[in-house]
Amino acid sequence: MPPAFVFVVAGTYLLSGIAAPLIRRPRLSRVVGFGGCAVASFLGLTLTLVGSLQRGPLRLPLPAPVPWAASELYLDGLSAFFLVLVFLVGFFASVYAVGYMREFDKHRRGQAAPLLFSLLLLSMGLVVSAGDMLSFLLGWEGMSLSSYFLVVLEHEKAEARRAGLIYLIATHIGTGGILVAFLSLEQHTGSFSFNAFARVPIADPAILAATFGFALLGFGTKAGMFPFHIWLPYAHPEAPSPVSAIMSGVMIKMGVYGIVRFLFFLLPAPPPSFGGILILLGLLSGVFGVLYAIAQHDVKRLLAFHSVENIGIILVGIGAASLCLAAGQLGPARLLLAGGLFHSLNHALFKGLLFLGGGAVFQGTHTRNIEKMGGLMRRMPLTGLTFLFGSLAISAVPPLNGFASEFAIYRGLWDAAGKGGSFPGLLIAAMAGLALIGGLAFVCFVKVVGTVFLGNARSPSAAASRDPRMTMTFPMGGLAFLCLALGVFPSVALDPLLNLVPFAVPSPPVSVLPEGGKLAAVAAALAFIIGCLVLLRFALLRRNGKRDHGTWACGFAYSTPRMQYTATSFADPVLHVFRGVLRPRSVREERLSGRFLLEMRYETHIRDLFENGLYLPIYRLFLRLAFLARRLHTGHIHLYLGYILGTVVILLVLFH
Amino acid sequence: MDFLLHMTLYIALAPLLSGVLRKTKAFLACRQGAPVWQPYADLWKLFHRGIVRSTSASWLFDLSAPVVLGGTLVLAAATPLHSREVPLPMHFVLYIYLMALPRFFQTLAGLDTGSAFGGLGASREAAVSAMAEPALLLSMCGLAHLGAADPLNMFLSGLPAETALRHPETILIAGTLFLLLLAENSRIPVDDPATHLELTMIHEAMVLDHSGVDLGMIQLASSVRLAVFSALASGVLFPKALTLPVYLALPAALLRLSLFGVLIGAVEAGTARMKLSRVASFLMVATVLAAIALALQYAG
Repeated sequence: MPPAFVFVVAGTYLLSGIAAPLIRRPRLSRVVGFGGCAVASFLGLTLTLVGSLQRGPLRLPLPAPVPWAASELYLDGLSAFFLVLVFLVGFFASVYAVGYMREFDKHRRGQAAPLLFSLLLLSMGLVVSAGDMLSFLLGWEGMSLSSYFLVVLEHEKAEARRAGLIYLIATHIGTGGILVAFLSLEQHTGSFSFNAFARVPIADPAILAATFGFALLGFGTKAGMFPFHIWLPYAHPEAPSPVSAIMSGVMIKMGVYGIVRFLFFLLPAPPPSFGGILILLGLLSGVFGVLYAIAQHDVKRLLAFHSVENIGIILVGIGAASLCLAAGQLGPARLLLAGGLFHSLNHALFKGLLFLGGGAVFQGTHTRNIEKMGGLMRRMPLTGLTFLFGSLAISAVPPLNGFASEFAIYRGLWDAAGKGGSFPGLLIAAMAGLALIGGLAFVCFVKVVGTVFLGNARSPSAAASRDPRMTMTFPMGGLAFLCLALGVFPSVALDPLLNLVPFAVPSPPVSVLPEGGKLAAVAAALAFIIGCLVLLRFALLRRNGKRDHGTWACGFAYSTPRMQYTATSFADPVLHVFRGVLRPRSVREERLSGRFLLEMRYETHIRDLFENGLYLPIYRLFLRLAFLARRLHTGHIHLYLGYILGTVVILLVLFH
Repeated sequence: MDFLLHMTLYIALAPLLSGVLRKTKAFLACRQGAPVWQPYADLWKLFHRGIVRSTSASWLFDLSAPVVLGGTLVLAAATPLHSREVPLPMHFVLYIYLMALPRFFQTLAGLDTGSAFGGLGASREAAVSAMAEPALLLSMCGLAHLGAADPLNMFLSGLPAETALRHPETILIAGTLFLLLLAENSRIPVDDPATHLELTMIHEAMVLDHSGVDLGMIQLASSVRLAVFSALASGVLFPKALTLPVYLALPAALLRLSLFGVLIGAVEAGTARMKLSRVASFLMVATVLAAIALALQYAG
């Protein structure tokens, strides 16, 4: 894309963002602000797609923010791919926000939302196109801060403030890790530019490992990787739904971008252990993410835990790619890396879709608790249909896109684990782990769709819900269409991704997903057979007749919708099996009068093990240290003067 | 032509498998039992009945029976029965994941009527299938490794001829597949399809609100599914049966399915149903068997 266009896109974002708070009328402000973001995203998407067809990276010097280092934008294939992610989901989320953010019209701060939103999109664009450390960190901080303010947009709610605080701390620990990793590279090259970093020779394996460790801490925290994931299920649900869609769909992929950039472009030949660590962390993210999701009843928190799960799947792909690269298996490495990136795209699409659908459900029912929903398929048919597509995609049911990318990862793993492979045990364990994750995701989404959309309404507000406006249904429909299209024709996205892999693949290139076209054949067979059967059923029912009747309840009728199966009961068999790792805590209170039970209360909670087991002790330790340090602060001025005197004396002794 | 023969064979033989199974069970319990063609008569009856549709149900309920049957038939189209050529060859990972499509709609239809039974069955079915997934994948990996080919039909026929004795892992894989067959098709000891108490059921509780044509489609789908698993497991045991000329292959297919009908019937007659919480251990056994089979291949 010609350099001038970069400024056009960035300018549109900035102008619409700045204009929104200046306009007095809330409705106009909303349309201008989010509409402008949509236009800018669409423009950016078109230009990136057209521009990425031409070969060679784009370099564009920026006005230097500091005198001692030059800044530049550097757009190669990897950047262009992640730009597509930002613009694509950004476009749909912006259109959706035009309708969704109406409920913020009564607040003045609703008009700040478009500015923060456009800054979020713009800074993510900067993150993936930055060509040096300084502009990268500028974008990174802009992204973290604008999303923080969006998380606490409803700051009168205590949960939002708490989530914001956890997020702010987590993201800055992450930024610290990234900074250390970059500075380590800078030490070896004396430059801030990524081009100078590229394949920098770090001889000492300990320093290499430390650099990778800090980068993993930084990018893994942003990505929501286990065990740095605990901020994610707090922060993502508190933001308004279009922002949750951006955060879960796109922002956490900035962490993936960072890991890929580091592992495959910047670090010199990483040893196989790096890939192995990534695979293990990916599997743990996947299994724990989906298990905690099954235990959740808040629809947005549940989706946030699924982001942890899907990041796990992506990391398995990327980690295995790195492992294969280190073992010299270039063909599988290429397929695995492309599969991991493809899953990033697919996750952005279906998770974006699900968060938008979750937002529509939230506005329709005024609750996020799925136990209070039910029967929405009949009242919100468009939301229900698109949510069903998203659920099928995230459960990796063919022929939707979630399966297509997992399939690519499976194929890569299987090719690499074949006879003569280097690490067959680990790779096959990864395949079995992916299978378990897929099966559990299936359980979770049957639970969600079944409890939210099917059966009877469990609360009056659920019974009164309706499909939202066009501005909200159109983005959901568009994303659902893309989920289906990429699932049936995966090569549209997979082929370009296979070509942007940064290492040469020996000719003849390995089988580039020969089943790529097969998915279309399976989809066609399914459509044909199911279509015939629907017609057959229709014809038979016309002949045999059908009648409507209340659901059978052993000769009675269901008197209240509370007699339906609940999400808690639905999740129980799986949670029971995994109770050893989940450690549910239950409270049971009984009030007796003599031998008679008057009242009984039973509660069961599943809390994140790492929150309580790992972070809470660290937090308590810091708190204790702070209390110790407080003893120094007595409030007596003469004592403080004494501290100064003591410090000066010590300094004099040390550096005389 | 081949496509028609393949699909007709599945649709025609699948109810027979269920009939043989039930007859075996009856015989071992010293009962006379229904004739082996009873499933055909049941299907005939159901396809001539109208349906009673719950007032709570949405369009998804109407779509569920066709998707369940259609998805299962597509699976059948990829599973070799009488020859190594199948109408729709597919990669084994795709095959495993495709099983989720009919199950997704089946479990959702169970939840759609707002009945507590449907939810109960759906929840258990989903849990069992999720835990069966790793074992299924590992056993397929083992097969693909033996057959040295990715698509399902190719690795079955690619199995070495002197199977059982030279390659003990074949037996292990066939055993795993048989355990998975029991779990995924709601057979004893995982689920009892013939109990009269809905509270203890898995599959039958889930389809309780289906009737008439819909129930017919779902019963046919269950039979085809059982036939698909039987064809797979017996294909591992007798790979050469797939390379026979067609006039021998058709009786061989009939024989293999009937053999599995007798086998499953004998297992069902001889075992008691497990507590639901024990199913996880059952499936863990299957996973471990598959892992051992795979490890043997890497070692050998």
